Amino acid sequence: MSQTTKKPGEEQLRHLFAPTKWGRFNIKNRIKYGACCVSNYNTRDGFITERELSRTKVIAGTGCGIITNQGAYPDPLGEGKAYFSQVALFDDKFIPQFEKIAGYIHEAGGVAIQQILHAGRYGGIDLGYCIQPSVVPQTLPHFRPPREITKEQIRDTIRQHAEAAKRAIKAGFDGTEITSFMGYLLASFNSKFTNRRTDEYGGSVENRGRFMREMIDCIKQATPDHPLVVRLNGAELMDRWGGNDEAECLTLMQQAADCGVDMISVTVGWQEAPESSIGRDVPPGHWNRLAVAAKKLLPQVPIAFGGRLPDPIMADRSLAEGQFDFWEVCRPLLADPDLVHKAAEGRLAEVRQCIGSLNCLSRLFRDLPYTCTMNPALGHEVEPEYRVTPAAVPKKIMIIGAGPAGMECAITAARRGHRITVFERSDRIGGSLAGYAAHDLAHKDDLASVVSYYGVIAKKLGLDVRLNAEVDPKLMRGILHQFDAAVVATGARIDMHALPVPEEPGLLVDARDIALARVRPGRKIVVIGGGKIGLTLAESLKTSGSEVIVVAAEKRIAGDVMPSWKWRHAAWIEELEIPTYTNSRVTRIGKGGVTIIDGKGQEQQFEADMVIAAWPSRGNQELVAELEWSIDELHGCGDAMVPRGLTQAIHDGYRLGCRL
Amino acid sequence: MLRKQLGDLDLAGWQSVLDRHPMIFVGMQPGSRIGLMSKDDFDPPTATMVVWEATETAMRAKYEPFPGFDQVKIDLLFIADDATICRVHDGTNPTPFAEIKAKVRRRDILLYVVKPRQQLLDWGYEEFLDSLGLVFMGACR
Repeated sequence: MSQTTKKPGEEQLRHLFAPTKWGRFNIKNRIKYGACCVSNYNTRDGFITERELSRTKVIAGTGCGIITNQGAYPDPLGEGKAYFSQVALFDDKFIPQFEKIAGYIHEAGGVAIQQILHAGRYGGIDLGYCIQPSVVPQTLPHFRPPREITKEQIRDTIRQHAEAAKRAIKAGFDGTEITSFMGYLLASFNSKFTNRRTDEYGGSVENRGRFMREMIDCIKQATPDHPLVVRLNGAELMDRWGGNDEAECLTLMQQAADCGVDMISVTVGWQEAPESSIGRDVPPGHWNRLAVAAKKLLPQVPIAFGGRLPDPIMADRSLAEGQFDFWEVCRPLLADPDLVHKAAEGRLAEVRQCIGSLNCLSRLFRDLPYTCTMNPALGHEVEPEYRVTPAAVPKKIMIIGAGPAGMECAITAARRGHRITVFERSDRIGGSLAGYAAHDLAHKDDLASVVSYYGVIAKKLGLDVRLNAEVDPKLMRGILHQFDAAVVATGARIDMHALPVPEEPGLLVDARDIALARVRPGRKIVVIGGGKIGLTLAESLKTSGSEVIVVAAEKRIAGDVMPSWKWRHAAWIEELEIPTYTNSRVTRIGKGGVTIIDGKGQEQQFEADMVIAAWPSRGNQELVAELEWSIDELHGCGDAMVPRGLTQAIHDGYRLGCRL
Repeated sequence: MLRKQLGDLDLAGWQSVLDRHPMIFVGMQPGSRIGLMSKDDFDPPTATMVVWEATETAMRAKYEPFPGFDQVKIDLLFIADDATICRVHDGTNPTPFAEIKAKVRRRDILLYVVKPRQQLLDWGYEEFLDSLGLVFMGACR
């Protein structure tokens, strides 16, 4: 590409968008779409569905120079199968569908890589067991009890990988990838944590790497003219319990390089590791040092990296510094499949960022198809009902409430050609999220990005956003017939009537008022509610110096928190030493303190100068009844209907916007 | 060292830990077995486990040799360093299971799930797994 045809973002991020060579392939940029998520969209017996194909067209169109298709298991028994509806490549019968996927990637100008994923320790999902180098029981209840793989099975498994690789190439893929990520089979051979064999496949790091080296050799022989990528941990985060340390991880990379692999993708962590590797509590760029170490060791081997590096600007800088050769990215492209295009066009402010909610993985580990908090269309690309198509009848629509549900609905409807006016009673958009983002102990910018995204896009689409504009029947009488439809997206509030009447005014405060800094927090605080609202505020206020206790009616805290994030709140509550009383209810809110009945039925008193009500929530639905006879179409949306949280609010807003 | 360490922690002490917290084991079927051993002496067959076994009426503590992962007849196995085990065993610790829960989350204690989850649920482990926060422990984080 000549200098004159470059887009503004390509100039700005010139390292990211620099064309490069990889073996015989010309790569249009330094971006590799990583096979981060198995979708669970396919049939139980490994065939690809129309849903998957539609999704893959979107992936192919992301603009990445290299695109890795999600991992296929290579064995007919399914010992390598990790996910309920994972695709398979153990037979030629699967080839025609993979041909389509390779075709989509090539049509979009990408180099197509097929990952072969034998999950090993996390496999055998349809079986009563999994296979591993040694019998080391699981530490997570989700997975299957292990059986030790025999030498004959080792040979078979390696052969199955090579045959699957040949099928991928036959289907038109340019190369293949094997993965030693997160504790999969390759990782469990490499690691001391799970490999306790005493034969030539166990013991020293040389022996533990033998399985990997034999596999690389076998695949390279089977597909001699095609590149092979291997994903290897830069850190397992399991070394406290006998896993590999970072030096051993590097030694294994050296072994892979010596076998002639064509790229090493550096990854972080095992599923069983005690600390976060990809959640939003990990600062962006935190793991770059692992790629730097790999690149320093192996300057001649292309290194791909992207663990917790969601920002293209940071990626460009890392590439400029020679930390790695390809930015390997996936989750940010789930949230916004146009990320690369927007970056190229200098429109980064319009990117819908991955917020690291881990909704995608939470669903996978509940054996559900993966979806994305930020991208409601993800996984529904095949369904016309989820497409943003021109409205048959352009309407004037009033959206009441500028929280995530209202803004998502407004933006989606505007894209379809409707004329949108947003009425927001406060002085800013974002609803409660704006406040809670400021209290998030993880990475505040992630949640805040949701609000800024809506602001940018609303402006771009020319939405009429009226702040400090409360809608009531009187206003409606004044604007009668000016709108064709109204959407009530007024969010939820704490039902203060469900709590004891405070004996002194001002003692009991709505959580939202604290979140939005309308009320100054007390010094000794009782938070009523052990869900995400109560916990987020409790953690933040304790960090700011208040004494805090949490009283929850439920048996466990964090009941409404994303499954992959529950542990994080539980850990913060513990680390911050915030006392929690579950199965408990507040019976009196008096001057100087509160009285609760705890889980054992005992009455307890706590000194407090403020009680924050963070439970129970109820939808702000009053306008639905009040406006019923004021407008042609009336709809409800998001927490106003059923308080469920950010993901559901965004998805509700989008779905409604698609059909108005 | 392990046997000495665990031997120093008398069975009556372990029994006391179990007797003080019967609600943790509510619903667990007789014959359910949970092991606890030191990471500092892990080699079969010399290593020793403390085993908590459910009977018709209560949990009972006993010592058993650790035969290795492939032969061990338990449902769950906690492994920790000696100091952690001592703290759990300590009669002055009012909340030993809360301590286990926190340390499992931080991986100061490693919990091996020896039996399949469904089998554990069938045997009445739901409350135990729940109280230790194990259902919270997802993957890929």
